Amino acid sequence: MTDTLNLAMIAITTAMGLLVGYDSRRSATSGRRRWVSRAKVVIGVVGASTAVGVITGIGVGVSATPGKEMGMAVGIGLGVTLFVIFGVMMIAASEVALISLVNDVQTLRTRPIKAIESQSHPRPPQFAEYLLYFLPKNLREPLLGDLEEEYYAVYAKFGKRKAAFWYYAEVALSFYPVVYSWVRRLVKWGVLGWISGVVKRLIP
Amino acid sequence: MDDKIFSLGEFEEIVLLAVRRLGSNAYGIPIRQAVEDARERKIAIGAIYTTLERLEQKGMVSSALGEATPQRGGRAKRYYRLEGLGEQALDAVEQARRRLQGRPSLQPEGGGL
Repeated sequence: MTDTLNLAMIAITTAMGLLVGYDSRRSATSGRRRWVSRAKVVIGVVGASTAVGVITGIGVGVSATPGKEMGMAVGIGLGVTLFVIFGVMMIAASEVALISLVNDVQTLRTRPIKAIESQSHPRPPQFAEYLLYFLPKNLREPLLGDLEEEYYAVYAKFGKRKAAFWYYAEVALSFYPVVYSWVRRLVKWGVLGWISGVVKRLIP
Repeated sequence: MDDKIFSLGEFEEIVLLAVRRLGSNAYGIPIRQAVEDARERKIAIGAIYTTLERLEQKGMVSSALGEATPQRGGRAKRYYRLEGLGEQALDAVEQARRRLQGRPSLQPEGGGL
C-alpha cells in the first residue's frame, strides 16, 4: 500500500514538474513573452511535493495507527520527510530544464525574437566578454570587436562549445600582455619615485 | 641619429612591418595574422594591441576608427597607419642590421638617396 502511494506520488510530482517545464519552454520557443522565473518554478514543484506528501502521509498514518491524532502526527511527519526527499529530488531533476528555461526567458527579455529565431549572429560568452571590460576603453573596444569577429568564424566552423573555449583562451592570453604593461609602468614610476626619494634624502 | 627616438623592440619592429605591409587594411586581426605568419607561433591579440598602443604613444603609428559590422557586435575597427617616424625607425633598424652584417647600406651615410 505504502509502496503504491509512494510510486503514485513520485509519478504525480514528476508529471507536475515536467508540465511546468514543458509549458514554459513551449511558450518561450514560440516567441511569446511570458514572465517565468526560476524561483516561481521551484516554489511550484516544492509546493506540489509538499501537498502530495502531507496528504499521502496523513492517509498512511491514519490507516496504519490506531489513534486518529497519532495517525495525523505520523502522517504529517511522513509528509514532511517525503517533501524533503522528493522536493530536493525534483529540483535536482528539473535543474537542467530550469537552466535552459530561464536562459530562454532572459534572452527573450533582452534580445529581439527575430535574432534568436535566425541564430544568424551567435554572441560570445558573456562572462568572458565581461572580463575584458576591466581593460582600458581604448584597448577594449577594438579588441572586443576583433574577438567577436573571429569568434563568429570559429563558431561557424567548429560549433558553440569549441568557439566558447577558444574565446575564453583568447581572453586569458590577452590579459597577460596588458597586465604586464601595467606592471612595467608601475615599476618604472615606482623606481623613479624611489630614486627621487633617495636623492631628496641625500641632498637636503 | 637619435637612437632614443628610434628605439624599437623586436616585437615592435615586427608589428610595424606588418602594419606597413598591410597598408590600408591594417587592423587587429590581419596584423595578428601577419605577425603569426612571420613568427610561426601564436600571438595573443592583447599583445598586438598593447604593442600598437605603445607605438602610437611613440608617434610611430596613428590610428583611426573604421566601419562597424554586425559580425563585430557593432564595434568599429581601429585601423593603424605607419607614420614617418615609424618608417624612419624601421629604416634605422635595417641600416644597423646591415652595418653589423657587413652589407652595404641602402642609403648613403648622412643623406638621402
